Amino acid sequence: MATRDSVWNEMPAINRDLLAPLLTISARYLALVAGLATLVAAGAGVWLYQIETGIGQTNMHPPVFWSSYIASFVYWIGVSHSGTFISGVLRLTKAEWRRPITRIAELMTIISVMIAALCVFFHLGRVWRWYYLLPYPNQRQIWPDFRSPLMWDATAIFTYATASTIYLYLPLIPDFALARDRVGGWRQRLYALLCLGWKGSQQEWETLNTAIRIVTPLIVMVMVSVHSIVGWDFGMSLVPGWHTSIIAPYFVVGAVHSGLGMVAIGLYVVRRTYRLEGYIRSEHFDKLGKLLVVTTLTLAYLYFADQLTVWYGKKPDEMAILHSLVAGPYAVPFWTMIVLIYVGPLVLLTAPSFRAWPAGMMLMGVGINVGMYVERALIIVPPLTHPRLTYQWSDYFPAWSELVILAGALAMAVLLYVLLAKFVPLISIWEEKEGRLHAASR
Amino acid sequence: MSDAEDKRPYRWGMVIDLDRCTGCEACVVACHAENNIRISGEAEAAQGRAINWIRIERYWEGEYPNVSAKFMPVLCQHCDNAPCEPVCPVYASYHTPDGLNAQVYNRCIGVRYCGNNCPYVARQFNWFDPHWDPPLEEQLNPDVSVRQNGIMEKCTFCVQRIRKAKEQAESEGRRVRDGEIVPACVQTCPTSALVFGDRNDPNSRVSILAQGDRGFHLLESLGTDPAITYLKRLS
Amino acid sequence: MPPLDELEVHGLFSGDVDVATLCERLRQTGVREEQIHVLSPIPLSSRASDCIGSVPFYRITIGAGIVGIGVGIFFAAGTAVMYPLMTGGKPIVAAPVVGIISYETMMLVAIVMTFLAMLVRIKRTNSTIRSRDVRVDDGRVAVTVRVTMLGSIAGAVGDAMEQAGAIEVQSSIIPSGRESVSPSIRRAASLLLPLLMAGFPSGCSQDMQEQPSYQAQEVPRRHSPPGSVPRESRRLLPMPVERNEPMEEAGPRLFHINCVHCHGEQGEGDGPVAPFLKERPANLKTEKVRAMSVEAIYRAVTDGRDMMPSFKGELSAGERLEIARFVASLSRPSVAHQGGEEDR
Repeated sequence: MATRDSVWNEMPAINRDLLAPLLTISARYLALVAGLATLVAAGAGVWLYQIETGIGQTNMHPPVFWSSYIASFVYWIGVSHSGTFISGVLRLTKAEWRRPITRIAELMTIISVMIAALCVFFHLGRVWRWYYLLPYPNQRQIWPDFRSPLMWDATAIFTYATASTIYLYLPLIPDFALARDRVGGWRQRLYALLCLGWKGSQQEWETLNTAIRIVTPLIVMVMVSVHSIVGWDFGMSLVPGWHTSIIAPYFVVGAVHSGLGMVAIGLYVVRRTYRLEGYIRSEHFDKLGKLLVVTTLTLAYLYFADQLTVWYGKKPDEMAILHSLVAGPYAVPFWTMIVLIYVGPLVLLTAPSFRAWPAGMMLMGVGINVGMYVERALIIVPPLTHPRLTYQWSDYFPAWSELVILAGALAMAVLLYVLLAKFVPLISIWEEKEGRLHAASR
Repeated sequence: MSDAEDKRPYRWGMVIDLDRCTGCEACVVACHAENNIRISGEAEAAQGRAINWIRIERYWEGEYPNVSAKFMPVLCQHCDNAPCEPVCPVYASYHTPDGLNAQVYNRCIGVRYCGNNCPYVARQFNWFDPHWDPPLEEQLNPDVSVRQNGIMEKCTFCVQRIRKAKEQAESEGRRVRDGEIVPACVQTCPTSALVFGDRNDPNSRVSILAQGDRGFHLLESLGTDPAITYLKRLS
Repeated sequence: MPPLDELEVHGLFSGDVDVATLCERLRQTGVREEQIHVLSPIPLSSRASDCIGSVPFYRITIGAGIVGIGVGIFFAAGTAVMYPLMTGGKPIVAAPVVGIISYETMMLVAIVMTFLAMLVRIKRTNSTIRSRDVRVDDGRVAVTVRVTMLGSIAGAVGDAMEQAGAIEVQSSIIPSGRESVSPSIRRAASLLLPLLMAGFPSGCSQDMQEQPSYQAQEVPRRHSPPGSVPRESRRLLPMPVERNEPMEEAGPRLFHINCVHCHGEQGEGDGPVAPFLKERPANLKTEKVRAMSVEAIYRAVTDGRDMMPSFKGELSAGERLEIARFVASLSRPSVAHQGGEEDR
């Protein structure tokens, strides 16, 4: 059991360990960056081709007007809930085990929100007129229509992106000051700018804590509203299978589910790459696993409630969709999804020994995210391919151009994360020190 | 005509007599010609992207050899409670005081929410730029915009003909007469299955036919309140 | 009296120093609370109820939230009222929509203002502290006291620190004079500017500009009605034009091509386009036109007049003069438009 004294004495070691990722650039790192940049360039090239020739490069056709790009948008917004949930909710509940995880998760949040916005741009038919969505006075005397759920989306995601960036930045200020004193070169000038001249006086700490304590509940409320509003993009429509009141809570819980899975992946990768086993311990994976059990059960409950209603009510438009999922053309992705996001986590994560196995948790995270992506796609496509007028029934599978563009987007997300890892200490240094001191004082 | 009648707004509507419709698709062709609809080509049509502002939906009933075909023309219903209008984030789709569901081409940014939300799948999207081999571009209607890629489009009740007739009537100081406005599909239908007119005028053919016993609305339970009344097939 | 130079005394302590006792001892030497700063790598207390001036932070948040609600109401309700368009039978000002948008804008403004308030407060606080000991983050607590150079208070402070167990005590002189605007703010501003000027190349798109619609004064197309004359061609086409009377003179011919659509065949202001215009074209046979000289009519054709466009770009000066002479003759039936007759 560490004593207060020993915690104070190990602070230089903590600084060294947690700043080490910033200081070294290995050949493997450069190779990774080069590979990701190539993928991003490929995606960008295909996207430009799509802008030039038209959305017809995808496989969309009436009645399937929305497909993989919107599925990706919903998925990435879902992943972005990881940071806010872990940072915000665990701060509110004063859970001490959040400390090494918050920075990793918050970085994931802002990157995911950016990629989600990018997916919307992929989807727009006339993306060069995207600024029609901005509310500003203009000579055409026209404003966007706020009655559209997409404008609620735009407002909510803008709020969420701004709030998340602020929320990432707030606890970073003392860490930037620390880094400024120990890291040289062009980064030092940026750190000096961003740390606001932080000295570490008690007044500054109180100001920072006040700001964090005020923003935390606000951002948790924003988090709940954001994915509800994304769910209402579907819920407000008349499409059978979309127009269900459970869609908002379902999307929020699903977002936390996939976000936690992504955090498990990030934790494992960071721990393994930078040898941070002393900081990211099996207890963190264990607690994460328990949270995942809660989200799995909740999500399964909401999904079952929704589908039970459809199955029992036997309305033809909705039954057609349920049938196509369970035993029809979409059966394979559907049952894969069920295993990946419900059955697998429930079976494996209830075993404490599995939860404490970092590599296993990482694989679980991958499985959950793949499953959640398939789930988003299955929410969008089967209802659209089965409209009420059965003459228009159709099918859909993504085109190669869509897959390349979305792979480029994923590569962009990883690339941004990898680049930011050389600028931002991946574990919040002062919070880690504070946590150890609290643990020693008890 | 009294003053009150003069000031009364128009409310355009259509009646489609399913008993008279033979499924010949002349209306489809006429609409293409009138509204500068782009040629999709064989490959795209196979993908389901053939643009038809009006289409004949055909359903088969029974088993061979006792099969019968049921068909009905489906076009934009110009619903009073159109689900496609409020979901457009940029006001490219709105309801005119005349009762038309208007689509503003140069405002559309191609979000395609409206396409999803139309329960009749009446909306179409320009997946690519249009192209006509010469000399086909000579036959384009100068009264109708040519839509580039990325823009949603759909039946407008031939709004260019409506506007021309209204301007003519206004310059002559009178209201539009019943039967003066003939959209392309109505004009071409060989059996006069399609009738167009002012629903606000109780004496127009549209109003009288719509009140008949055979009248029904498509997907009426959704509450979209369409402007098109179908007359049930009897034979 | 000019401001005096000041001295900053810093003492470095081990992490678990008793800060309360130390501060008490320092106050006994005569320094005030505001002159003492305790620098630590982690917050030493969990106090979190800061104020700006006398306004607690949470009041700033609440006030900003209310402003945010107002912003939301402006966007969701105000813009709808300014530009009322009926869509899908929904009300122009829809309460649930206003609620959702206002909720989000309330959160946005509240969070951003709280952040900005924190920023201001932190900059204000730490601008009075000069030194930052790197070793603080390694697990030390530093205490800095700002005193004037006069008197022995600096010494007393140093002694008090050493008695409390300081690992190291140092003093540094702070020259008087205003602190310049923090270079960090200037750097921040210089980053913003290029970002803001990154402009939107989106506006350069040309889509929807090529249309089959007829443009003003456009070259007639292959399918144009007989009698149409291309704009560029100022000479007669070999195409014969069907008319009741042969046209020998330039004046009537040009009038027929360029003026008849508005002013009518007889020049009485009843051309086919006339009913669609906001102002009726002039009846050229009236007193008013008779009172105009040929030169005045020429000027009207050249420069335009009220709703009538200018024909300077369409017709040459000679052609415009011929038209002016012909128009003059319309209102003076007694004057025959024979070529060469002076009529000024």
